[in-house]
Formats: sequence, C-alpha cells, structure tokens
Amino acid sequence: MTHVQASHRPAPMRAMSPVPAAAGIGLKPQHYLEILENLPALGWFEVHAENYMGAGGPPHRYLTAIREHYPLSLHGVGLSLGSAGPLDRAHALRLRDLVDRYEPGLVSEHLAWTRHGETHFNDLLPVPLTMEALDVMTAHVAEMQDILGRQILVENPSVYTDIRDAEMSESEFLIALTRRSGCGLLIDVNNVYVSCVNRGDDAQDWLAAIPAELVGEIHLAGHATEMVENVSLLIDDHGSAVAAAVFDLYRDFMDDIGVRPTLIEWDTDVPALDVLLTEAARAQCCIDRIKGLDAVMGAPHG
Amino acid sequence: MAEALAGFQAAFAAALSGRGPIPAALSAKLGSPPVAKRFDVYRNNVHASLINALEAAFPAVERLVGREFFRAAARVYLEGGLPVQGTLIGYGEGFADFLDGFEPVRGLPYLGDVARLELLWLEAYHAADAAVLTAEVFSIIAPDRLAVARPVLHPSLRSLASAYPVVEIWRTNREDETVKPVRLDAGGEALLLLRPDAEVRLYRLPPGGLAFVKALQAGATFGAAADELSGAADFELAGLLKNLIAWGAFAALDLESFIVSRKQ
Repeated sequence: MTHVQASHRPAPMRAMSPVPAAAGIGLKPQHYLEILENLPALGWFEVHAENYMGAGGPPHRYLTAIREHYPLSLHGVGLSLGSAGPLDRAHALRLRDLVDRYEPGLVSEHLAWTRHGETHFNDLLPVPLTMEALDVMTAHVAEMQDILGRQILVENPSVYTDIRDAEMSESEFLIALTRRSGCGLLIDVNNVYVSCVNRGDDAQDWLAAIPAELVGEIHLAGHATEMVENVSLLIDDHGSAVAAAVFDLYRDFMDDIGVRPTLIEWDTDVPALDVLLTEAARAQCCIDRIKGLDAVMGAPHG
Repeated sequence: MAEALAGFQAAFAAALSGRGPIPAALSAKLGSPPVAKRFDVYRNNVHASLINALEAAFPAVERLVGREFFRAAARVYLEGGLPVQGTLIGYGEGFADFLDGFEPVRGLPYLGDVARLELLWLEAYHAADAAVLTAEVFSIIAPDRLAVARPVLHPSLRSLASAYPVVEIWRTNREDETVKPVRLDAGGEALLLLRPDAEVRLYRLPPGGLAFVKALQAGATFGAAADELSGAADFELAGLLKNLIAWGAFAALDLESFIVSRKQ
C-alpha cells in the first residue's frame, strides 16, 4: 500500500525494517532517555542525518538503542541535491555510512540547495523550476541512489519567493524528477501550504496534481505568520503544533491517495515528548479512520 | 554545465553573504510582500540557524558575556565566513581565535580558552568509540618491553594548556545556578579530556604531563616520551602513567612485533 512505484528507472531496493504507514516523530536528544525507558507506542522515528555524522559517542549509542525498538527514517538536510556544481562526494559517503549502520526504512532529501562552492548555508534554498535545474537534480538524485544502492524520497521545500522564467510548476518538476530518476516523493503538507500562501497558489490544486503511487512519506509541522505591509508571509519554523488548515489538507490528501508514514516535525522550541506524542496521535487517528473506511469499503487505495 | 543555474546560485550566495544585491531573478505577485522581504527570510534563516548552532556549542562563553552580546558577536564572526561542510558537528573551529582578537571582549582574556575547551569537549563527545586498555593488560607487560611500546591513544583524547583556571570558569558557568567567583590569579593549567564511555571527563595534568602526552600523540614510545622530560624534576612518570591508564587514555599498545588491544 505504501509501495513507491518507479516508472522508468527503478532504483535497487533493499528492504530493511520498513517504516509503516503510521505516525512518527522527529527524534530529539532531550527525549532519548524517556523513550528508552517508556518505549511509547509510536510507529517510527526520523532523524536528521547530519546530526549523526560524528564518528561515535552518545548520539550513536542512543540511536542504536532506539533503532532496536523502532523503524527509522533518515532525513538529510545538507546534501544540496540542487547545486549546479558536483554532488558533495564526502557528504554523500557520510550519508552512505549512516544508511549502512542503521538500515533505515526510508531515506530522504530535498528539492533544494544548501551549498555554493565551499560554503554551506545551512538552509534549504530555492531551485529555479527549469529544465536545466531538472537535469541537475536528476543527475544528483541518480548518483545518490547509486551510492546508497537504494531509492530516496525527495521533499518539496518551503518557498518564500518565485523565481523568474519557470518552465514548469513545482509539482510538475517533482513528478518529472521521479520519472527520470526513479526516486519517490516526500510530501510536506505544511511546506505545500506555506509555499502556496506565500506564492499566491492553491494548495489543494498543488496536492491534487501528485500521483498517489509516487508518495512514500508525509511531513507535518507548524509554521509562523509574519505580517508584511498587512499581508501575511508564512515562515516554516517547525516551532508549534500543526495548523488546522494544514491538518485539513493532510486529511483530504490521505483520503485521496491512501495512508502513508506521517511525521510530526518540531525542531524549534522542542516541547516535552508527551506533546509530540499527542500531535502524532492526531495523525494516527486520521490514518486509523481511513484504514477503517478502506476495510469497510473494500480498499479503494489498494 | 548548468550555466543559468550556476549564475543564479552565485548571485543568491553573494546576496546571502552581503556581497551582492538581491538576485534579479526573484519575483513576487503584485500586492504581495515585496521580494526584499522574501529574501530576508532566507538571509535570516541562514544567520539565525548558524548563530543558534554556535549558541548550542558554546554555552559557557554565552553565559559569560550574556545572550544578547553573544548573538551579536556570533553575527560578526559569521561575517568572516560560513561553514564549509554539510554537517555542523565540529562547527565553530575558528570561534576561539576570533574571540581572542575581538576588541569588545579584551577585558575577558580567558574567553578564548573557555571557547577552546567547549570545542574540545564536543570533539571528545563525538569522537570514535574504542575499548580502553585496563591496568590488568599493562600489569602483564614487563617494564623493559613497555619502555619500547608505542601506545595508541583513545580517539576521544584531547588536551589543552591555558594561562587561566579555565576548568573552574567553564564548570561554574556550565553547571551552577549562581556562578561562583573564580580567582584569575590562581594560575594556568594543563588539561586532558577523555570520553572512554558515555561521559566526557576532564583531568588536570601535573607539570610535564602535557609534554609527555603530546610526545605519545606524536608517536613516541613510552621510553622516548619519558626521556624528553628528564629535565623536569617534579615529573613523576609512574604516578602519571597510572593515572592515564585509569582515566582510559590508551586504546591499544604497539609492542614492536604485535599489537595488544581489547576486542570491542
């Protein structure tokens, strides 16, 4: 049901403790001990790969212990797939080491760039929606999948501005990327909402364009609103609960495509573990309801 | 070669670093927030995330100067350059040197060394794991064989010499609710940091101890490292070696023809 279909060039798959179509949360160091002590009922955890690129020490010790109890998703934020220059080979190999070490069920990165020359900007910067950029992204995703020996998912970023001379929409770009590289998609519904409000587009139309079989994972998070000359500009800060409008979009999206692994992201002002688990339970309710309907109605999303 | 993409990214990068105007390729619909405000979000994300990373890496330095001052100083530090690798583990390498030369903190001459200690602490924290050679292993090696043995130091071992009582300054600013007064004229110290297990530990080295450890780090045998220190009258080799073993400073021993190490 959550199988991600590659149309032309299927990347080699290595089935390893798959991430279930259930709710998960981002793993934070301040919650390590509580998680190991209580082993809360939760489908899976996701970590930012870059936080585990040290050689050893407590981060690896705790992640190893938690990995023994839960499936894991490895989410990269520093690979810079959208850079015009070559893929950062050293970073790609660090990612491969982590994949070998933890055998995550999902590996993901972004439609974004973070590096220019020798400078790492530590932010997901926007990629022009051009054929040229699509060629670059395709080559980098294919190279990364070759290095890892498995498929990756590519996530839509939060975008704050348009870039002139676009040759396609963001969803068209992402779909073409999957067709050419065999990657899957991680749809961040909060990012869809933030980007669409900021650019003056319709979030429902954006999501309706995405074929169900391409989606391997969903992200949910909170955002902030900044008023600029009486017009709101949304900032994707991962610092609060999921907004009602985003949650509604998520529910409708899953109604359309079927249930998927769903992550609650909360990276700024990280609250107590219970708060994250409560957010995850909201998503899990949604997943359970759709699963229940599928069982009664004969699995329309099969 | 992706020329248009490369040009766009070069312009965007220059603008983020404050060395160029906002890229002309950016646009926004009429009646919506202007491009300049939109670009500010990216510029702010880059700077705020890196300042947050420095704040997380140097909590004692931050407490010594206050949060507002720290964030302003970090902003100045970023003007000198942004990170060069895609992970922020190890980021802040030049921050101590920057503080040494930062005019507004001239009144806190120990600040650079506190930053050095915090960075070394993080290095030890993230260093590779390795089992430690115990006293039992050393006890079965004859002294003459040990003299020509080359130790493999634990991957987490780091050292620091400071003209200030830097551990005390660091510890009270890291751990105490109310910062305790520290006598700056208490003199300098030489330190060893080790994380043989889960926790980073700090030890003070006796006079000559740091030179001994540095000689071992450079690949000397125990004998050669001790010879270098024959001039130091108060250098007690036996006591120091016993401490280093107990602290977990050694991961393996190269006994000329074979290597002694414990299986992980």
